[in-house]
Amino acid sequence: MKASVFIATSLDGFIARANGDLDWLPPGGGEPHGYDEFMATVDALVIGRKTFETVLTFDAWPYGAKPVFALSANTLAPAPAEAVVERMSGDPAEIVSQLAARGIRHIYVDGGITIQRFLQAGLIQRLIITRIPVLIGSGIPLFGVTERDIALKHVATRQYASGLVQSEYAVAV
Amino acid sequence: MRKVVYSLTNSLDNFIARTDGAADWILMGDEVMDEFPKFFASFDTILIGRKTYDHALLQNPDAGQEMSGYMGMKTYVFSRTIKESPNMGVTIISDNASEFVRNLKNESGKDIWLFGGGILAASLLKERLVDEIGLAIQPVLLGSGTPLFPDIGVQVDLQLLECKTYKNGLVGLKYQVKN
Repeated sequence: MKASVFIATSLDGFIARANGDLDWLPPGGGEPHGYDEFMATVDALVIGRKTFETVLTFDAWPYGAKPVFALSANTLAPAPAEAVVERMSGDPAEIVSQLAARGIRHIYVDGGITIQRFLQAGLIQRLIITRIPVLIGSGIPLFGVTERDIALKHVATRQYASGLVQSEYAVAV
Repeated sequence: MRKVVYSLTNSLDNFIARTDGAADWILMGDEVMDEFPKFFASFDTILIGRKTYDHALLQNPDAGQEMSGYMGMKTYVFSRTIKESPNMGVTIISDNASEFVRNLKNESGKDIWLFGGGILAASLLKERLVDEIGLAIQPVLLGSGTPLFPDIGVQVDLQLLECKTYKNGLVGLKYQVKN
């Protein structure tokens, strides 16, 4: 099974302000930068509890009928009726093997801590990072402490008119 | 007015050095090296934080004997703890760093290279004294080390000036700071 990350960060490497605010992101997600195309390749999402709760505050459920596996040791807050959400818990290797056993071939891993756990476990194959042209000064970082270097292979970098820069990396094995 | 340019290389997780200062993870390559002469020629002055300066000295035993500053440029090291440098080309600035840099920008000359480290860069960014940021992003996550952008404390809006990729996997980005 393949796991990918598709995420926006500030140039100083944050995915949200310390209080979770995303007000520094371009309005409406900014100019199209491949999110829909990426989502079309994904069978399911694996997100952390905090990301799940953040998404619940959005005006509309953003994932359509795409299965969402929310990682939490405790019961989840109720999701909108159209959402396909299932709670899971366990370490990244257990999650991956359970999902693979259900025929899922490509997951989109989202949320700071969840991304860090999967990266640390060597279970992410692709990183697609869109840099927003701003320094927000402090916040929730995309990357965390790792026990060792994680070598990457640069696949491509795309530049968008509004100043977004999207870089795609394969995690070297 | 002369520009202050914060330019260096960093890991994808925004570190500029390992915790022990090692630079073994940095790829350069001919493509990058070919750009150095033009890059260096755009500056005549270099600003260095004390920790980075210590490291540059430790790494290069000859640096202490240089008479002409770091890489032949007018060199200012910012420190409240050290008062003088064994390198005669180095001037230590211990008070009013932002005032000093503001005046320096008004003098005539080439652009000013803010060499780092992150702490000096963060304080000058906060004081709205940095004009451009240039990064060469290395294809690696280090997991820990010296941060490229320690907590700046303010939001700084940027405009993308340039985006380049290199065959060895480096990504070069240049931003104008909207001060």
